[in-house]
Amino acid sequence: MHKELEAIKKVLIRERLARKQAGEIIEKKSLELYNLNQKLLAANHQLEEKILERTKELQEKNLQIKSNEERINLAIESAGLGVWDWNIEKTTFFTAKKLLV
Amino acid sequence: MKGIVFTEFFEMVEERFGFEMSNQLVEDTELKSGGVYTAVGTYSHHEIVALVVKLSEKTEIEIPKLLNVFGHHLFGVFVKAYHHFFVGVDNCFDFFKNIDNYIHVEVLKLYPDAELPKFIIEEEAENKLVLVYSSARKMSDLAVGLMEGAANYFNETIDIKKEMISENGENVRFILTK
Repeated sequence: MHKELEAIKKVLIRERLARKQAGEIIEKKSLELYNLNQKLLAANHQLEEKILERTKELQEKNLQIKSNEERINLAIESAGLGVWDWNIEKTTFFTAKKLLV
Repeated sequence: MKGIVFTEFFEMVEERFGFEMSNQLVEDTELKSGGVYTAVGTYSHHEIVALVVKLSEKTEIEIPKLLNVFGHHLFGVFVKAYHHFFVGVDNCFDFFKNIDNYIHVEVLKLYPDAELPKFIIEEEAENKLVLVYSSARKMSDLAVGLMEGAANYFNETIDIKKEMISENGENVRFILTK
């Protein structure tokens, strides 16, 4: 019985050490996960900012295109001209209303 | 090798042979880890080999037999601890097919450093499955115990034939028939 008790004590000591080792491994993994999560959050934030920036650029470009279009239309109309465009590959035909009359 | 293999090995030794045997085993085997194992750790597979060899010496039970019994024990543990791998699977052949393409994929997500054996399906029919086991750990006898454990779990009887592909035991073909 005494011998068995001694053995159990030694087994118990090893179990305790194993428990500590497990705690350390889990803490290390948790920290790794936390750091990775922080990196992901930062990357996400950066991406969102980039999207806002790009959207703003696109909006500005759209406005520019619109006012250019208006100016061209005005010029064409005041000169009494008509324009047409035939895309052979796409088989589309664009024409100003004026030319259809 | 995954820590759970070590912690369960000692549980089996303690259950079947008692604490004195478990303690003697650690004291008489040269182990880098000092015989301290946790399920979430990873340890050299040389240690499990040394432990099994020593247990065989002490109990005078042959190594393949010990590994086979350990396989049965380990399967029981897997069923309890990883029950989600058994959901929707109702026979052992389907379960074996899942090892490489599902279970081990999931294991690697949690433990990228795990060294896992490969189970490649070479041939499959309704009552026959040919699997090729490859592992530098050369533990095909453990795999047999695990497969027998799986068959018991699904209430099936299977016959397992082993063919050595390489002499060192790293590559083994299992021919399973129902």
